[in-house]
Amino acid sequence: MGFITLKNERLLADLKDLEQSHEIKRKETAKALEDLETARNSAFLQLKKTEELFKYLTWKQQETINSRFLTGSPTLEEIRRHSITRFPAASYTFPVLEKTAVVPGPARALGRIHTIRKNSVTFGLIQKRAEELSGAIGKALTAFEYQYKSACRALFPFGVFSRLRRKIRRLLGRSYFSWQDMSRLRDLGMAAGFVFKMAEAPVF
Amino acid sequence: MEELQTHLPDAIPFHEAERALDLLAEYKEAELTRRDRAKVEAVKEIVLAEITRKYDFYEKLFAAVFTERNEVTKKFFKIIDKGIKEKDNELVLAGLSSLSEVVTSNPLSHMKALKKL
Repeated sequence: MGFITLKNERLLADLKDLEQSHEIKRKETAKALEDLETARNSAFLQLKKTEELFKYLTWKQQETINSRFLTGSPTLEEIRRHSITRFPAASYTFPVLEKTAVVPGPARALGRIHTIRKNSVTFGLIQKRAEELSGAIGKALTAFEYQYKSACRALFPFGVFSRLRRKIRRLLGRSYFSWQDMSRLRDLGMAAGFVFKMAEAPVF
Repeated sequence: MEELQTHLPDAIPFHEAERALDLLAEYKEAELTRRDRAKVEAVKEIVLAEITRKYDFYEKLFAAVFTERNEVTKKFFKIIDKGIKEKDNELVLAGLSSLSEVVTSNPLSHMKALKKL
């Protein structure tokens, strides 16, 4: 009789440790996913900046950038549209362990250990993937910011005067951006496309 | 999350152990002989060892997958940083393109193949 009970104590001690670590991992995973949502929202907010430049592109100019440089990527219009409409926050559900009122027998304890280990592996996977995505989005945003500033410096070297010159150009019936400006806008469009793809990438 | 768990490969056969778990649940401690108890204890130890072995294997496997991915993404981070430092747009875009390719690929994409092993 004592044979089973004695060894069961060790099993229950293992179970208690696992339950505590399950709860910690569950919270860490939820935090990693929250951070990912923040990174994604921040990416879509940053992408809004493209709106003030891309809105001046003629249909033909947009088509040229899309077909030549953004093949297989979101088009400039898609980037604009998605960055304007708020990115819907993903919802995740996590299994919470049921409270056991009575001391579980060996079969029940083993079943519970199995569930906890399975959940913990899954939590670890989700957490690592969420951290990977958040880190990559953060770096991609740094690169996008660089491309944006670089494009603005090249397109508007004299600030408001450059913008005014372009507006006058448009009033005279010509396009706001010339075909020579396309290389800068192409780079910005491509950078925005990569950020967009990463921000939209599913956790799994 | 449950959907993700269905993708976990059964690289270690667990069916036998699960069946043993069911048998264990049917035992009534008072009706057991000393020999039966020894059997139950052995099954318990086997099941526990199997659970530990199975999930330790998954943890190591996934840790290795993500370590490899991290090393690759860090290289692309460096390329992007270098491009920004040298004001080289092409280098920045090349780094971004490769980073996006790695990050948007599913880390569990090879699991189906592993499941068949």
